[in-house]
Amino acid sequence: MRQRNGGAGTRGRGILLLLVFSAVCCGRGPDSSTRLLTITLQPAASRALPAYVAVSGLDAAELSSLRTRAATDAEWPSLLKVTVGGDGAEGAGNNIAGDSPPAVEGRYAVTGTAIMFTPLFPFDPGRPYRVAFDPSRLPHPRHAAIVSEVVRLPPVATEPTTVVTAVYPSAGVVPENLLRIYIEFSAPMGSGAGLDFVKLVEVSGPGGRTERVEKGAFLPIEANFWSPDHTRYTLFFDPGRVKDGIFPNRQSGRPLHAGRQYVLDIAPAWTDANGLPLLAGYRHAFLAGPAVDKAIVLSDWTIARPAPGTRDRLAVRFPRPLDHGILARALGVEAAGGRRVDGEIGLESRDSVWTLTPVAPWQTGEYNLVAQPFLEDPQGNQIGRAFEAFAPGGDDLKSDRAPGSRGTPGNAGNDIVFRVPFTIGAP
Amino acid sequence: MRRSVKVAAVLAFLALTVYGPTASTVTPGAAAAAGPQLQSIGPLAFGPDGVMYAADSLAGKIYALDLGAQANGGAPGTANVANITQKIAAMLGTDSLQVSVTDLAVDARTHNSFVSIMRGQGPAARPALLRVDGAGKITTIDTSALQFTSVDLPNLPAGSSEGRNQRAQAITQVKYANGRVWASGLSNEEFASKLWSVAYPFSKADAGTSVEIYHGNHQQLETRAPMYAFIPYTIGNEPYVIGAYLCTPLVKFPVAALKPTSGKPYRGTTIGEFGAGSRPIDMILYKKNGREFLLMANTTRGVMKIPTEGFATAAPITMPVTSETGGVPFEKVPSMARVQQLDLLDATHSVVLAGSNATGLDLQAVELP
Repeated sequence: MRQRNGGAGTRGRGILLLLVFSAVCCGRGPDSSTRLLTITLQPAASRALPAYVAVSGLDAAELSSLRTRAATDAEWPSLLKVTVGGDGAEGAGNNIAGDSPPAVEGRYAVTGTAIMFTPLFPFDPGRPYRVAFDPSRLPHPRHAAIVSEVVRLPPVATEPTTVVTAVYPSAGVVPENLLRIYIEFSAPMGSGAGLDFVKLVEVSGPGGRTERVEKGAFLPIEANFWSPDHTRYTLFFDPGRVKDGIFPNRQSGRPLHAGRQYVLDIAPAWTDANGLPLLAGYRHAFLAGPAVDKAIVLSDWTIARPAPGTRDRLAVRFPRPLDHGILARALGVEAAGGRRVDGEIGLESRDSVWTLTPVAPWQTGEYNLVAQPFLEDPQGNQIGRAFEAFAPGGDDLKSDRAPGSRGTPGNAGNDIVFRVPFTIGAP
Repeated sequence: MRRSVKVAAVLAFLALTVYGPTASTVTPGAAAAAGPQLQSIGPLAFGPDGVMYAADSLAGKIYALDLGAQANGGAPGTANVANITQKIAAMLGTDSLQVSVTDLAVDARTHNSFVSIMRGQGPAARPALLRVDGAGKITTIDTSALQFTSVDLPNLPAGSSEGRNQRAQAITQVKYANGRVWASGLSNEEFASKLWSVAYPFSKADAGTSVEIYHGNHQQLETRAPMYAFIPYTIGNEPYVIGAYLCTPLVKFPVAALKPTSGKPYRGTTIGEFGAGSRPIDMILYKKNGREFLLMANTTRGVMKIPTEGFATAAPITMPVTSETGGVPFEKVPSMARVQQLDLLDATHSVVLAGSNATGLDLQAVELP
């Protein structure tokens, strides 16, 4: 994405860089040795045609002598070498061959007027690259010095603009056995894990002026917990501390304690997909409440039914907030015959109300609210199954997802789907 | 694969959940295609005949890649390469902060090492695969030229097409054993342990099986903590999986006992507690002086060496442990520090990527402890 943006920006600004060098004529070579060699960086023309380096000023015979050389021939970098970085002496001197610094990998091609080098991965916007061309390594060598120049595409962005837009759960009070937090951003972020940039701070004392960082609160893991578009990061609390009774929990306790005030402190140094820091840090304050360690019970839900013939929203209210991320895909409505009711999903009241505004008006008849088995609350409790299941005496775990509520488990794709029937237009 | 894909004999020891027809891009008997469209790459594993299994978490696929001629041509073995991330970054036209190593795997035929990486940041990051040979030469593998077959991981169903689906999954480990490819993974949303396996060669008839494994930590409290690393293992001629979870321990479970997710959740048997605040990275099995060991790299607790002779008879940990560690004995290997990736190089050496993302990773062959 970034590279494409860079290309687009470059197109608007015209060709970036031009000549760099005029070859030194030693008086002994062919006429071609007097021709000026020019290194240019051609901006991306399209997604399919990324930016490339061109060396022009070679005559037809020189180009022809190179035309049979394969695109990835190992000989190319001794003639035309692109390396990362523009500072220092790399690329200068009497010889550009050798592996230090390594040549940027790519494909070489010879056109009617130039040698082209297209990198394996698009050039990074703003990054300097040194391009060195050694005329003495032409099949018919020119007795001339190495041509060397630094090229770069314009940077995509230079000023920070990305901010944190939301933190979920958004409620002012969250259970002390909270398992995960979502952090949403205004623009795509980089690939880095959040652990270096997020702190859990306990706030206490008069005016909340005493702050203590709770160390080891989060899962020490660098797995990719980004959403596909990198605008949401999932922060997991260390489950070993959240889970009641196992050693880390017994040793250090839960990261959150009911009755205490906390701040999730997000540092501005966290970098976005353009490598720029956040425009500002972010502090999300909340109070820890009692643990919620019970399963989700469908019979506790209430459904506010819209009138037939309208496109009014259907609203399902839960007695406690459910998971902000999973709710968006774990609930749906089906009409008679299993036909899905299409519409717009909404979350309200800090994720304790789910709404569906249908595309077409409601019709009188029977419907099902369909809940997928992976629906969880932010503590990991599922329908009919608490995160921490009690199995006394080491017996095999019971299938505790059987009905017992007004939800009826069905079988779709070998997993249980819960259906809560309701009617529109009926008494 | 250059050979045609044959219908796999369905192994009878698994009668697990079969997911819907999302299965395979390869029909039984069809020839493999060329040029996988990788969106991401890693973890990696090698199977018999040099087939490389590469997970693509973004696409939700496991690829079986035939490296063909690109597997060969290098000096045998793997030589040490200092700050390999910086060298790879330079080859790929960027700096080491833009290179994220996703896995390391050794081709047992040549003992060359393969490193999978993501180049770039955010949604624009792109995959790359590189080979390191016995002379320390790094070669970029042109994946667009590879023959491949692939299989889709089961997707969780969407409840509504209108909801915003921000779910992503990270495949944490891929292994091959006994005709099946195994994969473990993590989600950025639901917190559930799923171990998935599919017969290889991939066939449309078999979309794979997935089993939910409860983490039987002390028999009273069971949770669905995700398994992070695992290794197929045999006890008394029976296939087992030895797994390591995020928040504690080493667990074993017999493959034959795994049952579908509908109904009873399956519970593994905890045989070791190795301390908290760390997560497993990789496991390898090796023999030394007539004894077999499991070598496990962890994020903050270093590398651990665990004799396997106790795996068959280890008493299940059924009570809350009162000390930080318990169960099967292990010893720390302090000489192997800051290991980020680990694989078996040969009978006497492992190969590791060690260091930190900030300062760069070194590729090193290390004698097995």
